[in-house]
Amino acid sequence: MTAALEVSRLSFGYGSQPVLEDISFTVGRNESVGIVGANGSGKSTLLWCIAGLLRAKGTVRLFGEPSSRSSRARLAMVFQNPEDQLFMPALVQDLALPLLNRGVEREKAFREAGARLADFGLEDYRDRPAAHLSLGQRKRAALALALMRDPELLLLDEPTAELDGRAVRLLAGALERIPAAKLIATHDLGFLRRTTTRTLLLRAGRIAADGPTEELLANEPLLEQAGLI
Amino acid sequence: MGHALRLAASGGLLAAAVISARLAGIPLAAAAGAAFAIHLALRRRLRAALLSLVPIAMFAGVILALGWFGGADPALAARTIAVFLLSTAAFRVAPWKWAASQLSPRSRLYTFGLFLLFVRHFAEILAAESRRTLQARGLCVRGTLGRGGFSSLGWAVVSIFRRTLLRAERFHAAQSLAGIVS
Repeated sequence: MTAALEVSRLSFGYGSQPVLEDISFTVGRNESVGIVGANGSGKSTLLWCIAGLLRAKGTVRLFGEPSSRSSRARLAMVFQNPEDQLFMPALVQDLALPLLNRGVEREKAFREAGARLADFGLEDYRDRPAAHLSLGQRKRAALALALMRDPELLLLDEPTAELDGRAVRLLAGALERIPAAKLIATHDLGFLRRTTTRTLLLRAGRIAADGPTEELLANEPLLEQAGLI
Repeated sequence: MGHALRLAASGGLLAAAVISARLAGIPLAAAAGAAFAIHLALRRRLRAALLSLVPIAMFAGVILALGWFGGADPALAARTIAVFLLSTAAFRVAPWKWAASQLSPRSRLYTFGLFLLFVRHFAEILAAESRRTLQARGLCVRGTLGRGGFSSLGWAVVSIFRRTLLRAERFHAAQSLAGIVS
């Protein structure tokens, strides 16, 4: 079976300032991989390059095909700030919109959106705008929205930023139930341990380590060198 | 208030904004006064209503000053305030939730409706970013018009624009990846 994601010799920079250099790795189907690194190490930029939002040198292949509009339709991304994704006056309308856009009947789209909100414990907030929810609830809603596309690869950018312990636990639980390959950029080592089996360590735009999460997180000198502890 | 009534009120306010842009003299003063009264009524709290007027009053002041130097129509500043207040009121009164629930990709109004929802969302982002930046400035500067007051205000405005552009880029990226915009 082909990998969900193959990144080969990917480089990206802003002007003459390199951000990512010579990045290569693969993510298998249903594999959950973490990207860890200090602030400014290039984690978010890497996700943006994979999602086709930034043009980088090198190759990105999704499910065995070169990255294109049609292959990118099989991935979804949860952005660091949920307000970038949720903009409708009611949460259920946010979740129904991708379905309506695909031509799904209104009633069915709203029924599925409501069911998805219930899966994430947000059924009581379906008629409220995202701005009226707590940050943890908004993050879960953004994840629920990303899943409306039934993605086979899910990219998550700093999903636990500014969340309290309970919200992190709820988010990790929700992620565990998602049957898709996941690439999670974070510097939350506890969350990484909970949600991934393999981790890439980014340092100054390069992959400094790639291995099983437990093994990598046990390597304190490496983490210290990367500015993570 | 019912959806139809709110829609009519919103449309009426927008029409009044368009008419205000063409008025002069006493009718313009009356329109600006009415717009201010509507703004106060919608905000409920007087202090919040007055504070929300500070940026537009400053903008109108700049227009007035430029008009004074350049010999342009001094009514332009009053028109700016009236149009802004009436459009803001229309924005607040509009039945957004109901309108969004009526959106259908098969409708001719779909793209226009989505565009209005984007504008509405982005206006909220802009307001939140401005509020945050100005609050942060208020915590750092002793006396808003004292030493460093004007330069810090200038940098705060620059920072609002920079952050707004960044948010716009991210918002567009998220919507484009979700297949909502191309």
